[in-house]
Amino acid sequence: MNDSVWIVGASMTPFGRWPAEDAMSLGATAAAAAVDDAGVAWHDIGMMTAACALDVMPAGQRIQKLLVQTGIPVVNVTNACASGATAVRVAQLAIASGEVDVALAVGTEQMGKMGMLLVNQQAPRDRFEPAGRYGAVMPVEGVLGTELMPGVFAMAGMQYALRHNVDVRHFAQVAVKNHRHSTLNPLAQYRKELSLDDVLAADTVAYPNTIPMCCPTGDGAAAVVLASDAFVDCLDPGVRQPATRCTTSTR
Amino acid sequence: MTRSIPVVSYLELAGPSRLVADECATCGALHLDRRQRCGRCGGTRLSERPLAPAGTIRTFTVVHRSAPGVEVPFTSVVVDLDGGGTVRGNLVDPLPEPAAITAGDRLRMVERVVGVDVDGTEAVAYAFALEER
Repeated sequence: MNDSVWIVGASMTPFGRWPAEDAMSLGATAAAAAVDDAGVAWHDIGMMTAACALDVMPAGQRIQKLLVQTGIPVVNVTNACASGATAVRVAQLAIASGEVDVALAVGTEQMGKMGMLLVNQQAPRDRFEPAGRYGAVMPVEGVLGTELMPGVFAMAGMQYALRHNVDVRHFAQVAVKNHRHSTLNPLAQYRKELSLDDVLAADTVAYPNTIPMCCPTGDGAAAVVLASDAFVDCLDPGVRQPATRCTTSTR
Repeated sequence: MTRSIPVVSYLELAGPSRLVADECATCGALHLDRRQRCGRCGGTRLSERPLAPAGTIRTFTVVHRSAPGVEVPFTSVVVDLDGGGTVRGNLVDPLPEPAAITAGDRLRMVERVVGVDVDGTEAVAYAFALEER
């Protein structure tokens, strides 16, 4: 067992729309830069986790084909919005268990312009015959309410608003704050400060959320290199000192 | 006579039509989807129970942008039905002024035809109408 797991390298691509790239090339860019940041050798890496929620083919092996193919074992994970965080979690567990001393975790996505709106869309059928868990005879989005993400999260917010007497302007202020933060982040997809009026006056996606209150769809990747106590002790001090411990000791 | 089919199997077309849930015999949880076990307690005994055609608003949104092929705008509501059961559906026209919808608003279930297939069979859906306050 390893008591502590450290982040010894990290990297992220800029987020945006990168039609000349694909999810694997973005993931490879982030992975290679994280390994360089850590200053570890590829042969030190005992396992790799990879997350890509919208592409069903295994991402990790395909990312390795763009980098090095030295037989690093891969675990591909998918966990909706938490896929990247789960990749980090699984890499951390591999080190904490004592199985490996160094692990690479990568999350990557190419959403394009439509993103999740193109997921799970059924084609209309010529003849009405019940199918699926609800026995639906036709696609029911927009017929029996909404179950696409923008509407689902808008309804989650409005449930809170109706119960707690929250004003739509309170939600809009969250977007104002987040857009202000984006101006400080060179990797953010949009970097523009917006006023409360700007946010409220924009086109509505799903009430109460306007366009600047919704996550943009976009492409990007991030990666971290995790390492055990024993491995970190052997690192060059220049890498060791800024390393961040991501679990606390249980001693 | 035109043949009708419910748009989902938990809607039972009769006079009057009603939503029918699967109720867990162990814990009383209600489900509208086809399940193998109770979602709340894992119980195996599920039996049908009709739900009330009226209830109180839990939440809503007005969808203005959606996937290709989905007609917008429309209002989606989630309704806590009287006596138990929660269901999502469309609000029938007209589109409300969203800020006018408040906690405690009452809704009643209505039927509407939402499509006709190549054999002329009508798909009948449920929807909800706001009651006057």
